[in-house]
Amino acid sequence: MTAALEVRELYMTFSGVDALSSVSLSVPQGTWMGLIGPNGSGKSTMLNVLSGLYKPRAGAVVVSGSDLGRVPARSRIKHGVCRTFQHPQLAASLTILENVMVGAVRGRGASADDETGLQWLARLGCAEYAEHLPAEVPYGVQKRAEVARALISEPSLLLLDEPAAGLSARERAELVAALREVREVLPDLTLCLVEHDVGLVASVCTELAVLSAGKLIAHGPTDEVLADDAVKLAYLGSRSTT
Amino acid sequence: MELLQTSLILGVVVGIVYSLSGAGLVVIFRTSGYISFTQGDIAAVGLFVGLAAYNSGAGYVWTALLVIAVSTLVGGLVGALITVPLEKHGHLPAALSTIATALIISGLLNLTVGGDPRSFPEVSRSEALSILGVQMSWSDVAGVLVSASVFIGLGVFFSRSRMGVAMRAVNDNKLAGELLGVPDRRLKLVSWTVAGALSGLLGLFVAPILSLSTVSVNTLLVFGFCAIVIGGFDSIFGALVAGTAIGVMTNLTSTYLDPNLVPTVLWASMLLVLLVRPNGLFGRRKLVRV
Amino acid sequence: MTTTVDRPTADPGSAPRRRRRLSDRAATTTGRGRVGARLATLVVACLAIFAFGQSSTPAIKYAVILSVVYAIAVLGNNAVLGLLGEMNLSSGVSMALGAYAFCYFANDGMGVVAAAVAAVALSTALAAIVAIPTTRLQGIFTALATFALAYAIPTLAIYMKEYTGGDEGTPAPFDFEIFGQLVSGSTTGMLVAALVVFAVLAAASLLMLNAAPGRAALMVGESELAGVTNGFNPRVIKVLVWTWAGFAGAVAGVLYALTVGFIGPTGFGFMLGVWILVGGVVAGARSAWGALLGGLFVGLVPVELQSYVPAEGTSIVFGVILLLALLAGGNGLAQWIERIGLLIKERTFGRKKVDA
Ligand SMILES: Nc1ncnc2c1ncn2[C@@H]1O[C@H](COP(=O)(O)OP(=O)(O)O)[C@@H](O)[C@H]1O
Ligand SMILES: [Mg+2]
Repeated sequence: MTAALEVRELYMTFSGVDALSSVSLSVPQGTWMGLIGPNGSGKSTMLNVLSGLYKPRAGAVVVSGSDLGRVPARSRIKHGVCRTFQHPQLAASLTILENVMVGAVRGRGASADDETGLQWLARLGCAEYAEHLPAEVPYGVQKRAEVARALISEPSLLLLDEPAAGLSARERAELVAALREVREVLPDLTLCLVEHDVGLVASVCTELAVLSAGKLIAHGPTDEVLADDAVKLAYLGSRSTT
Repeated sequence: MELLQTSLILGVVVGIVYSLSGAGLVVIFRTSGYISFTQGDIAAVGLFVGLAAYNSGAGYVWTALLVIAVSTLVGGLVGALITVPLEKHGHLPAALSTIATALIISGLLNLTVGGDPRSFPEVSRSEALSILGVQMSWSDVAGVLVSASVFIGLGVFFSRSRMGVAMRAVNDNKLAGELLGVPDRRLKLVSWTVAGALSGLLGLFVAPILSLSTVSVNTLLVFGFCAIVIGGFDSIFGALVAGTAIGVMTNLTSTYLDPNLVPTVLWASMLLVLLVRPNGLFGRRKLVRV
Repeated sequence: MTTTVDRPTADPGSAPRRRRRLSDRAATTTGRGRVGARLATLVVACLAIFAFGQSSTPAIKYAVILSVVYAIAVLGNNAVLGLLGEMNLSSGVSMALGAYAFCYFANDGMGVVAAAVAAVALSTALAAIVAIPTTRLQGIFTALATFALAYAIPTLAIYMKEYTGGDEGTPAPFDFEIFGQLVSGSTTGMLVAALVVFAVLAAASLLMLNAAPGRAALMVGESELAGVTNGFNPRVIKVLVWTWAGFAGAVAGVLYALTVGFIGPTGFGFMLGVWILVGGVVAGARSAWGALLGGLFVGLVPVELQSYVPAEGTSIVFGVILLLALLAGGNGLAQWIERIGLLIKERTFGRKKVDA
């Protein structure tokens, strides 16, 4: 079986500094992989390269067997790649539901109607906000609306950039519950979750990849990676894991 | 041949002066992230005050200093009282407020001094030197020397002084200025003041050529806009190169084609550069950070 | 915390639903939704302008007709401003293109209708071509390129004298009739024609704002990144919106030529584009009927002001009004009027639940 995501020898440079350096990894279909690392280690850069917003200096991104090197960011949704942003990117004048439905226009779920959108919002626990504007709803709802917008495009690879950043403890718990619900409904979905909160990542991801200064220093099953000495040193430092 | 040399050399002369207009816009853009439409009218206020002083017997040097002082003051006031406070509604309202200010200032000038073009004094028409058979007046020489030193000064300021470095950083990242110990708001006010001074200075060299009126000052804006789009928004050096190229090109156009085509050629060359290099000739390609 | 997960069974999506509906407040702040009420407002506004024009002196009626013509340009420009958040100072250029092309074709022997269609088609095509490099500029910096273009137009018109009549200008058709009504100058036929064209374009933009094209433009205009990752091509969408503005401007230009009867380079100075932009900001860039207010601001206010302020000083009043509009949040007069209407409604009927 071809991997859902395969990254080979990826390099990304900003004015001479390598934000990603020789990153290679392979993620089987249906795997939920957490991507962790200290601030500035290149996690967002990695998502930006995978979603096509940044063009890597070298290396290949292969999704479900097709090389996306020449596929512009706007066409990646057709290849089943969709993402959310660290800071929610919703159109301020569209309702939450309308924002969600934007994902269906060019996505693979072109037949999705408002009912489908509402269903996703309901699964993520925010259906009651469907008719509100983004500015009128809690931050956590904005972030989950982005997830719903990505899901309605029927992605095979979903990229989430710090979905829990800025959320309260309650909103975090709601998010975890929502993500578990997603896994139940879509067992084939491959997920790449960038997150600061290692506890949260560990509770939903079966695999972990660790970036440090642009280099991949560990990749494997969650518990093994968390036990790895190099990871503890580079990332977790003196902090405990939970 | 004589004609060609004249348009080339005098093109460089006016071009360097015009690029000052671009530099003033870049200074504001660097700290605030938008463009001012009111720089021409700010210069006009200084120039009309200076002209009044000149007509009542002030010498040229005092006139020039007065023009710069008034433009500096008006520039700082417009920034401090109107545009920077409006930034809280976003960049678009702030940029629109510079149009409002331009309308108000030009209306006030039209009411008080009228719309008729006036002649404006200059350094001296007498010949200073001649290059390749082209005569240059002391005014031309002064324009080039002063503009060149202003450019060197701006370059040093942006790369060496703490405030200059903070100015470069603040548009990329709000915190950068504060980290360097200079508050965001102060940087913006300084940039408006400096831009005001630059407009006044520029007006001193341009008003004698175009004659002074509330309409002619907008020419400065057009040249400045083209200079920064062609040169690249955040580049002072780009404004210099593009401004000079524009000066030569417009001179060639009016000599060999038709003076009526000058603004169209300016606009078309701007579009052409945008097609080939969207960030201008010397602009950094910026990646949005997400 | 599991309460949220249990919800799918009680899914509101399974209940039969009415059409999507914005709350009154959201509808007011975004200018979207409540299409029926807004269409009705548009018709009422047009009828009110008609009644006002008919009951005025010929001079004022003429200014009213010009205001409606400007309103069409404001409407097009508002798409660029209100959907994309970009500044377009070249609406006067689109008007000039439409007007000059119309007069050229008509004087060349084409019928008036054919000349109008040809002029609008040509101008729209040119607008699309120019939009391709212009939209390479980010956001408000489109103002620079459009300002330079607006500045170039009067001298360009002089240069191209074989087509434009140069300094002297060129006459427009003055004997065009529809249903036996003369459409020219300050005739009632002219007023009706301008209002009907405006109403049709305003209704079209209102419907588009609330349909797929409007949503796509808003997505790209308000959050370009998410637009890209969701499969939209921002450049294409921006060029389309700018082309629509060029189209509306060209239509306004044709009607301008019919109204004024004669066009010359002084009619299309760079300030015209500034007035049209300012009219949109002051009246509200998201409101279809508000564009009429914007047109009146450009066409009628200066005329009315002349009894109080010397002509040279009108720009002061405009500048002050623009500043006040910006200080009030930049949402425009139309939105304030809608807010007041909403307030009155709530006072009379009591505040309803948001999604009753
Ligand atoms: N658009 C950009 N321009 C310049 N440098 C960037 C850009 N995006 C990221 N970087 C740099 O790349 C490195 C990795 O950043 P990022 O991927 O955002 O880290 P993380 O998301 O892991 O916190 C940082 O040093 C950052 O400064
Ligand atoms: Mg990040």
